[in-house]
Amino acid sequence: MDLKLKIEGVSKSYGAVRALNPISVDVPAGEFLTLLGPSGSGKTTLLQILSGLVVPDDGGIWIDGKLATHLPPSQRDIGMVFQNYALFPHMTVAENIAFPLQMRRMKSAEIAPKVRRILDIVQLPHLADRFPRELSGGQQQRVALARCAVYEPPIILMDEPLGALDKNLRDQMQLEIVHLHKTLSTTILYVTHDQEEAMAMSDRICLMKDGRIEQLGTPRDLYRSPRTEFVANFFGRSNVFRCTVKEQFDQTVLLDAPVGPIIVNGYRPGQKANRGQTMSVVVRPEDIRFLNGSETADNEIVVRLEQTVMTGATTRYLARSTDDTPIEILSFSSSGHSPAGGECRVGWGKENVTIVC
Amino acid sequence: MTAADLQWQAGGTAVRSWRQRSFVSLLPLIPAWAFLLLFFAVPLLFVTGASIFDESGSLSLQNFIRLVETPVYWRILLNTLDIAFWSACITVVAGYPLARMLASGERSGSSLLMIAIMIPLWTSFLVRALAWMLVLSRYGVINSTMLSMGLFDTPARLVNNYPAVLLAMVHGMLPLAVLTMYSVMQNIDPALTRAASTLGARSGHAFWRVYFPLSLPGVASAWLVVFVSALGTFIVPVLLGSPREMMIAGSIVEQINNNFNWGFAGALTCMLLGATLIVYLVFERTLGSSVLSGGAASSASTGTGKGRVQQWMRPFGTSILAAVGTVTVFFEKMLEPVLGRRRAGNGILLSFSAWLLVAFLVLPVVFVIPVSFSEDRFFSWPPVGFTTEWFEAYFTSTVWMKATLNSVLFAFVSAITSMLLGIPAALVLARRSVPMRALLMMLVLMPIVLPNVIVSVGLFYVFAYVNLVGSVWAIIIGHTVLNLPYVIITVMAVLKNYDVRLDHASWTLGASKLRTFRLITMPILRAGIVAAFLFSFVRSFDDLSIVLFLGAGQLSTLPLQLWSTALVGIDSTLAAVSTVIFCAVCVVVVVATRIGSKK
Repeated sequence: MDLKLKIEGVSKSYGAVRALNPISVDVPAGEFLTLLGPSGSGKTTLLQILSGLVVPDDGGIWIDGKLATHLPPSQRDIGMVFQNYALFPHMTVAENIAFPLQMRRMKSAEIAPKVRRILDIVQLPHLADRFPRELSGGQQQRVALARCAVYEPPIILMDEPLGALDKNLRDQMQLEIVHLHKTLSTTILYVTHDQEEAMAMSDRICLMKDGRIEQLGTPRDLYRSPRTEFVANFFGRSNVFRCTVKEQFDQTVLLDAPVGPIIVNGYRPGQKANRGQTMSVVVRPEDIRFLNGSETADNEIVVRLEQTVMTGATTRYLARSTDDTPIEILSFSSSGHSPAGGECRVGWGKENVTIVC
Repeated sequence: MTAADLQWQAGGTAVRSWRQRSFVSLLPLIPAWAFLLLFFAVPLLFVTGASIFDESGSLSLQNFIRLVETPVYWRILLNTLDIAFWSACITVVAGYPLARMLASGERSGSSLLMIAIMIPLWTSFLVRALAWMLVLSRYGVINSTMLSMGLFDTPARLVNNYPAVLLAMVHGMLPLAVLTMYSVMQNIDPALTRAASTLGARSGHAFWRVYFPLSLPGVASAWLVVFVSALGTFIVPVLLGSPREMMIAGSIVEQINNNFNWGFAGALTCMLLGATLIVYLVFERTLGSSVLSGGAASSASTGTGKGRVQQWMRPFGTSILAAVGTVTVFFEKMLEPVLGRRRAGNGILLSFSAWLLVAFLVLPVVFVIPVSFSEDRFFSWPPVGFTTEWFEAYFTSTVWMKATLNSVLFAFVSAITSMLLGIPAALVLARRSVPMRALLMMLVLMPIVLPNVIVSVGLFYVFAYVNLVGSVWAIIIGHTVLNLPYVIITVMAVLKNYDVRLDHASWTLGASKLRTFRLITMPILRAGIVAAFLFSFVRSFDDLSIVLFLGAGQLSTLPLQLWSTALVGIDSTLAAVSTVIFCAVCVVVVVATRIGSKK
């Protein structure tokens, strides 16, 4: 697969504030990569560096194999969708979309069909002569996408493009953006702080924190094998136990935690765990199940149920173990064996435990 | 009676009591409204009325016939329009880079830039005109410097001509024009220019096709503000022009002060009024009404309320701007190898021209300071020796001191009066639905948009009728007419950004309406209200036209004393007084900016 974008050792400081520590990312052509993170994590700074609006202190950026670190935005040939769309209020929808084509010195005879085609793709052909302020939020969003997609830039950068929309519209636009990504087969770099959005849309997610990459991988990687406690907590809910290593049998390790002994199956062949070494492990709530009379599991504890929250398809149980550690359990509401309350036995498999640092 | 009927009746009473209450809530509007009606609308009618009576008091068109038949007055009208037009054009073009730099704000020193604009804005128009006399006169800064450098053999005639008038006019109007454009530019989303550049527009295109069209409402407002202010100016043409640069306002002053011909002054005032209204009408037709209400409204509604003409002009405008953009980009590409890629569009030119303009704004007044310590009896350059004689003359002269005290007193009382009348009215206008709102707002805006001379002449007629001319009250009322609209507009603007839910929260927490106003609303609005007060104070302190007409020679203020002294000769005491005023303004502006930046 050919590399569309190469970021190497890029860093940026504003005065004494380190906005971005040296970061390196490779983006293959056609990928949908999401930069995810809480505010202040450096994701927007990275995006602005890529677009050319901010010059990095150090490091380099290659677009299509060409060095672009110091190219002004107008000559990078990238597309950018802004947070509040940044549609030109004094131009009609069609004029907005034609703008990048005019900037590329295209003849008006060529421009018109292109504008019409992209308006068809975003399903707004009837609004070509309206002004941006006459459109709804969702329509403005689509125009912004169309304006960016019309000149088929090799890379499209999107800075929280759905932030201003309400929940329903956001879900719908997520699907449309993914669809557009497929239709145009471009490379998209998407910035958001919404983990669900990132999960739903991305090929890969780059989770950032304090100007550093916390973990880079597929949504499944980040959810199922988080490398740090931060990653585990950022995606969904998790039970985190602090433990010490007690014994190792090849790939299986026996740990000592306040809730009781925990068996882990996460070690690669040859990897060594030192006795007495401390670490944290994560168990997802949905991996913990209630054990009926004779049922057993690799890891078993007794908990006292404190609260039951039915959220529709799933039910969350908030419980405490005998040593008072809060435990969260998630199961399908339809699964049948909902406990009556009081004390009950729960358990999870050794393959469901993830070691984090 | 059925249950439904009863219910219906109950509903009816509820509606009625709601109506009564809403009438009560409109009461705070009445004083301001009545004041403007009595002291603005009525005087305006008087002016038009008085012009259609002859000396014997019978109805006649004699004054207008004289106006139409005397070619001199046609010349004066044309002169006025010509000077006002070119002043406005030059001011707007010159001020644009300054406003843009101020609005971009990211450059360090933009607060310094703000101070550099605020100080000339608040330094009396008269003081600045005097400064130009020093710079341009026969023994002035330019001539002396050129002679000593051997570039001139004999002093050049730089003053009492058309360029001098235009120069001083532009200098006088520049700060106001810059701030008008700035208020619109401030609201242009910086993301738009960035978006344009990511879409492939070089900075030339991004500016001419995106930024510039969006800033046009500000440019149009600024042009209009300067044009109208220039229409009513008499200080600059009288001090720096020759009779050939006589403007309408100047001849009105002459008719009243020298010839005592009120009727004819009224006819001239009508001519000025007519010219002003025609300009507004033309503007409204071509650019839409948003221009009238200035930056605040137009920025939010860029592109709305377009006149037919504008709609028709749009394609032309677009292609012209596209062409200009292309030309700019061409130069940008040429400059690239010289300046380096990223710097080409980065506005070295912009900041250079902006700081050049700042020098133009500030320097003339700065030259006055050394002259005020010069031993020479009249304005001359370079200053000779060192003496504080002129300051002593100012501080020991009862005439000057009385004038200064009067100025402070009038400014203070009229500012307070404007606040007392204006704030309640602004609260109602900003928050309630008011019947005939458009009409009320027009009454509020008119005193701002009409040249002060018109208001002054009008008030003169009214007060002459009730024998109040020459009284302290006449001047305070006159200044209040000028200030009240500013207070209302400023406070309304501040209120627009005020979150009413804070009041609601306070009510639900148990505070009465009055306590809420005192403890919540007032502290949050304080900065805006202080600004409105300061602005009123300065405007009234600077005023010349009201005092000139309504003081009737019995009351003097600092500007009037400066003016009458300057007409006799450019005495060095004037330099001392100017220095005092300039320093006072500097202190106020710097302190105000400090307070502002702390918040």
